[in-house]
Amino acid sequence: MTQLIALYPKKYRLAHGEEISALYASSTEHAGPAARFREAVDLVAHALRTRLGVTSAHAAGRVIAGAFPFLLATLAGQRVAGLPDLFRAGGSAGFPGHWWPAVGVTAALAAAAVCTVLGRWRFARLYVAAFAVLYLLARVQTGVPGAGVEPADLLSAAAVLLALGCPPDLQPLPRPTRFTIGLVAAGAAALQALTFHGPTHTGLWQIHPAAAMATVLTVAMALTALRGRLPSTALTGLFLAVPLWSVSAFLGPAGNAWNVYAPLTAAAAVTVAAVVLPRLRPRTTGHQR
Amino acid sequence: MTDRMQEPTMLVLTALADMPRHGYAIMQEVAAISGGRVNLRTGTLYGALDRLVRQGLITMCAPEIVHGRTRRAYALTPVGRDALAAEAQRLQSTLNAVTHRLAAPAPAPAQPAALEGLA
Repeated sequence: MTQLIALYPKKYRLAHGEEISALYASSTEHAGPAARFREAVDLVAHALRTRLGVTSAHAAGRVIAGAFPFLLATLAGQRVAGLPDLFRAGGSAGFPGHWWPAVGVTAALAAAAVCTVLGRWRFARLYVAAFAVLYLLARVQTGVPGAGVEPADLLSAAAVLLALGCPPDLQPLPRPTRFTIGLVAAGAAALQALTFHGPTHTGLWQIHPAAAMATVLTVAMALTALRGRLPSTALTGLFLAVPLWSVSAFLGPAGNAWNVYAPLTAAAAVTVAAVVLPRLRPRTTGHQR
Repeated sequence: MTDRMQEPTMLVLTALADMPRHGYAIMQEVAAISGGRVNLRTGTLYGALDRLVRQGLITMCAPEIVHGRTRRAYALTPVGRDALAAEAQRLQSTLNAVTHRLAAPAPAPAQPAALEGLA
């Protein structure tokens, strides 16, 4: 127990160490090994979050809790939309079994997103852990030696880190936020499918996937800002998930610059409009939402 | 924007509504109020308590020594009490709407045209 408390910053330990020790001792008094383990993990996580300044008492912690589900939703939506192509590629290669870790990655991500939407945070975190393991397996299996970091690596690592950093006392997220997370996931899947399989003459296929996801997030942000119904932390989360996708666009192979910049510029314009338009709306005294 | 109170927050504030409590008592109260559905772990509880103190919804009482160990109770502040009352009011109006609508006589289900002809 002393070792666990030692993980807290000194100032916090001096202020709360003794009472946390007492509480831990009381709550694990009649507990089995599994429950003790879960308590210890929870305590270690809180100690590390306190040390890093990402608890729910810190703005950074609240921002992480807001950003994670939207990054997860876009990642899951994008991968689910790519699933038929994955099966087709596996089938045509003649060894479908080779692709199962990649399919598992998608399934784990989708399950984590569904659990987040349903407010089952503990399960969501477990699925993110499964995703991390399967992603590493798939990467080892399909990675080209010396290929370097890929955009998906950055986004996957960000999703896992954000999931670890999410303060659990901010879960489950409010219902309107979870509804928006579901919509963002559906929008991400739809746009990804359109860019992959949409009519060629529309030119959608040229849009960079990262730019497409940033656009989905921005449209969601604009719509919710206009409706004015989403908690401010969720809006901040949406806002911060956009640069994560935008940065990842510049890690991939170089392509036409416009297919990254054009959607991102449009996304930025929508964001500005979302911020400005509500201020221009006429306000009626006594009007209630 | 609407920043509704999240369930763990509401349960912790409810646990402190009648009297100040220390960590373990809050944990037990939260489990009792939620019918065992919400079990806060030590780290999660302290994360929530730190946040609520910073938000001014609860305050730390003077430390007391029990069985040679320092223990600190937490109490609801007037701001916290108002926030909890506002949340209770919101839930109450939703509950009233549900109760009112359930109490209204349900309309008889419409019969398909084919079955009506047979009757």
